[in-house]
Amino acid sequence: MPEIRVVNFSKHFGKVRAVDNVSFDVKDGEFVALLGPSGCGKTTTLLTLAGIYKPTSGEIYFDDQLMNNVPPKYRNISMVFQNYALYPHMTVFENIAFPLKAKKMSKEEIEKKVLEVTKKLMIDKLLDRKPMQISGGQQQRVALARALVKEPAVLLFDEPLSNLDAKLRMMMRAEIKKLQSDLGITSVYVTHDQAEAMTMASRIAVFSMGKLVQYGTPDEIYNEPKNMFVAAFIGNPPMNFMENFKVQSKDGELFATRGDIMVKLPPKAKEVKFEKTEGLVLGFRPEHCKIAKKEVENSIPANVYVLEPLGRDLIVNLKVKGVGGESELIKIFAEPGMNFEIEEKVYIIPDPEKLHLFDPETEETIL
Amino acid sequence: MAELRLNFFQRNSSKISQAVMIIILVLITSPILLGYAWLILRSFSVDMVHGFIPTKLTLKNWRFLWQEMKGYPNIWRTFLNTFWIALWVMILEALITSMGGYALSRYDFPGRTSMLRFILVLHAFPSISLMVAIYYVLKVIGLLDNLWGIILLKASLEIPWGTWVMKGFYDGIPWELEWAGLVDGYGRFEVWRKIVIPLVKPGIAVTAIFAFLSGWSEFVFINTFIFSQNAWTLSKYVKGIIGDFRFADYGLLTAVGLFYVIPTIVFFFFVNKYMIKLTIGGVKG
Amino acid sequence: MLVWSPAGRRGFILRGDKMKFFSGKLKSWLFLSPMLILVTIFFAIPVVLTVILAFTDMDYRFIWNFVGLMNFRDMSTDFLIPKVLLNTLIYTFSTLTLFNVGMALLISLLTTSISDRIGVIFRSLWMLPRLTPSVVYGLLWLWIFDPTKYGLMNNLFALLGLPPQDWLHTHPMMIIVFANGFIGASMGMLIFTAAIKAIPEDYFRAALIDGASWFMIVRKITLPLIKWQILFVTAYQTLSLLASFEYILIITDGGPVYRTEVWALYTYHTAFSSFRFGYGAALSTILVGIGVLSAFIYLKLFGFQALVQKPRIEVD
Repeated sequence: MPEIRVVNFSKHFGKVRAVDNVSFDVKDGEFVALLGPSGCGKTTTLLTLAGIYKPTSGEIYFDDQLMNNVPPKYRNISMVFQNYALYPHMTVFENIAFPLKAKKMSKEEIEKKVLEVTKKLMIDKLLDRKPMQISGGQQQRVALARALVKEPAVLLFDEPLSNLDAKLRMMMRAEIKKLQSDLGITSVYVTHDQAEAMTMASRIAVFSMGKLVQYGTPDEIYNEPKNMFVAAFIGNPPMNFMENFKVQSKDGELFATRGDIMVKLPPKAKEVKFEKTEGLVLGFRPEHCKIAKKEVENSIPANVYVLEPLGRDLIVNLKVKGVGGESELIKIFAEPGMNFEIEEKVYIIPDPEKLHLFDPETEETIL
Repeated sequence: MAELRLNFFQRNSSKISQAVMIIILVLITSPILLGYAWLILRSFSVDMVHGFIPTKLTLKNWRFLWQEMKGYPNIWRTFLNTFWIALWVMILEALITSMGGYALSRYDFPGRTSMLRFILVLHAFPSISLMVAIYYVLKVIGLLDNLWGIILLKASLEIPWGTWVMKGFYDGIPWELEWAGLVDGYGRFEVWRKIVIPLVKPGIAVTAIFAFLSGWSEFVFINTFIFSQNAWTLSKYVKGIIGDFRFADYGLLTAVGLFYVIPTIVFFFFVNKYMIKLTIGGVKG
Repeated sequence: MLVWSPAGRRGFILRGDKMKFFSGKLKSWLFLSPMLILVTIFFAIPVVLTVILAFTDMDYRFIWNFVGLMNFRDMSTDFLIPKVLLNTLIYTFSTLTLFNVGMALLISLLTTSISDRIGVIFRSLWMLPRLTPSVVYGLLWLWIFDPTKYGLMNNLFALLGLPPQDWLHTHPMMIIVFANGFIGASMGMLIFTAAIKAIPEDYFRAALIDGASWFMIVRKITLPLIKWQILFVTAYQTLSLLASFEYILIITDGGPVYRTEVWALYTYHTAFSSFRFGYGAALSTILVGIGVLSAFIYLKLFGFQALVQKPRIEVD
C-alpha cells in the first residue's frame, strides 16, 4: 500500500481558490480524515487524489511516484461517494462487477470476486436487485463492495455516511473502521462531522476556507487546537469563548482577569511569551468545568439561563455578565445529580490545566 | 506500490481524447461554419477562389438596397411587410401565451388536465398538413392574400408551443409569493399583474423573440397564401432572387440573403442560452 | 349578514362553493379564451375540414361536391404514390437515424465530454440553422452542392483533381436528408444534452475511478440513463419529419422528376400546384390521421404526469 504525500497543493477554479497551498502526508495503511465545513476544499482535495481534478500547482505523490498527470484509471484507487453513485439501471451485481469489467476480467473471476466481497459485507442476497429496491444502509454496503472488489491500494471516502440516519451511521462508522484496519488499505475520508473524524481517523486534517489549518491526531486536535476555528469546530457542544481578558501575574502565578472575574492559568503559561496581555479570548470546553453553588476562588459567577437535559448528561446554559453589559452564553456539562433552577446564581470553575487563550485578531492560540 | 510506467498516450489520455473530440466536432459542424462564412464573405466580394476565399471587396452586391430590381417589389416595402408580420406575431403571441400559460399553471378548473394534454397533442401535431383546409378557412374569412391572415395563422400555430413554454416559466415561480400576495389582500388578477408578470419577464422576452423570428422567417404560408407583390415579404423576395439569379449572380444572392438573416444573428446570441429551457417540452422540427 | 344556524350555514357554504367554482372557471376561461379562439379557427376547424374535404372533388372553383371514397380509390391507383411512399420512407428513416437521433447523440455526447465553454460554442452553432430563415438556409445548401465550379463540394473535388458533379441530379435525396438533418439534429441535441447534464456527476467520477473508458461510460452509463429521452425524440421527430416539406420545397421542389417528392410535399403540390383541393385533402387526411394517432400514443407512452400537476391555490 502506498504512502500519499501532498506537497504545496493548490487548486483554483477561475478566480476561486478552492484549495490553497496544502501539504500533508498519509502513511502506508493509515486512516486519515479531512474535516471541515462545506466549501472548505476537502472534497476538492479528495477528487484531486482521485485524479478527477488536476492540481493548479503543487504535487501529489503515491510513494515516490508523481501522480499529478496520472489518469484515475492507473491510480489503483477506489472511492465511496456521498450519494453512493450506484448506477440505477444496473443490478447490485452489475454495479459491483463494473470496475472488474473495466479491467476486462473473465466472467468466472468477476463472479468469484463479487461473491467474496458481498459475503463479507452481508449483501450476497441482494445481487439481483436494483439500487432503488434496497435500503439506504444496503446501498451504502453495495457502494463499499464496489470500492473493495477491485482490491485498491488507496480508498477514498466522500462523506459516505451523511445520508444515513443517526443509528445506522454509528453502526457503519465502526464497521468501516474495522474493515479498513483489517485490510490495511491507505484511506482518506472526507467528512464535516467532527465526531466521525475523531472516532475513525488516526490523524485529522482540519480544513477551513481552502487552507489546511491543523493536521494531527484526534488527541492533539482536541487538546491543542491551533486556533479558535479548530477549537470551535471540534467538540460538541463547542468550546466556550469569553472575550476581553487580561493576563496578570500575582504571587508568582499567572491569572486571566476581567473585572472581578479571575481565573488561574496553568503553570505552563509561564513559559509562554505573551505579545499582548490585554483583550484576549479565554476558552474552555463544556466538559472541562465544574459548577459550584457557592462562591469559590478562581471561579466565574453566572446565572442559569436554560437547561438542556440529554438523558445521561445535562447541559447547563449560563449567562455571564460581559464587559459592555451584554452577557455571554456559556454551556457546561453539569455533574450528575445536580439540580438547577432558572436564574439561579452559580460559579463556573474551569479546570486550569485545560484553559486556552486566543488572540482575537489572528484567532491563533496563545495558550 | 509497483512503479507506474505510463507511455505518452496514457499520461496524456484526457488531453488527447479532448483534442480528438474537438476535431470531430469541427468536422461535423463545418458545413454550418463554411456556409455562414461564405454567405458573409461572398456578399461583399466580386468573386471567390476555391469556393470561399474572397478576391476583391465590393458593395455592388448590395445594389438591391438602393435600386429597384426589375420584376421585384421595392426592397424596403418588402422589408416593412416582413417586419409588420414579425411584430404582430410577437405581440399576439406574447400577450396570449402569457395569459394562457398563467391559467394553465395556476388555475384549477374542470377540464384542465384534458386541456393540458390537448395542448401537448397540438404542440406535437404536424400543423403543416392542414394547409389545404387552412386555405379554405382564410378564403372564407376573407384573409387570403392579406398579411393579417398570415399574422393570425402564424400566431395560432405557435401558440400551443408558446403557452407551454410560458406555463413552464410560471411553474418555476414559488407558490409562496402568490400566497403572500393573496394574504396581503390582493386579488388573483392583481397578483398576476403586479407580482407574477414581473417575474416571468425573461420568459415573455424569450417567447416574444422566438415569435418574432418565426414570423420574420415564414416562407411556406407566404408562398401559398400571398399573391400580390405589394404584400410580399423577404422570404418570397429571396426565393425569387434565388430562382432568377442562382447561376448568374451569387454576390447578389448572398447579399439579399445576409440582409434577410440579420435579425436572426442579432437575436441569436440573446436567445441561445434559453434554448434548453424551451426545448424540454419540445420544439418543432 | 351571516347568522349562524346549521341549515343557514350549510346553505351559505353551498352557495359560496358554487360561486367560487363558477368565478374560478370564468376567470381561467377568460385567460384562455384568446388562445382557444385562435386554436379553434386554425387547428380544430381545419382538422375537421380536412377530413370533410377529403370526400369532395373541390378544385380552384371551390364547389362542394361530395364524391364519397373516390379520392381514396384514386390514391390506390395513383402511379406516383408508390414512389412517394418509398421516398417518404427513405427520407424519414435516414434523416431520423443519421441526424435527428444519431448526430444529435454524437454532438451531445462529445460536447458534454469536453470543457463546457467549448461545448456551448458547438451547440450554439448547431442552433443557428434552426433560427435562420428557411430560404436563406436553403441557399447555403444550394451553394454547397452547386453543380458548377463555384460550389463547395465541387471545389473540394477540384482540390482532389476530380471533375465537378451535378449533385442535385446525382444525389438529390442525400442533399435533402443533409439539409433537414442539420436542422433536425438540434432538438435532439438540446434534449440529450440536458438529460446528460442531469446525470449526477458522481456516476461519471465513479466510473472514471473504476477505470472505465469513454466508450464504456457512454455505452454502459450514459446511453442507458437517457433512453427515455432517445425514445421521446425518436417518436416526436418521426412525426415532424413525416409532415415536413419546407426545405425540400425550397431546395429541390420534389425533383428531379419526383425523386425527392415526399408525401407531405406531394399533398402540397396536389393542392397548390394542381389545385386539386379534394385530393390534396385526402392525402392530408392520411397524415393528419397518423399525426393524431401518434400524438395520442406518445401521450400514453410518456405520460407527462409531472407536467400536469394540480395548482396549489384555490382562491379565485
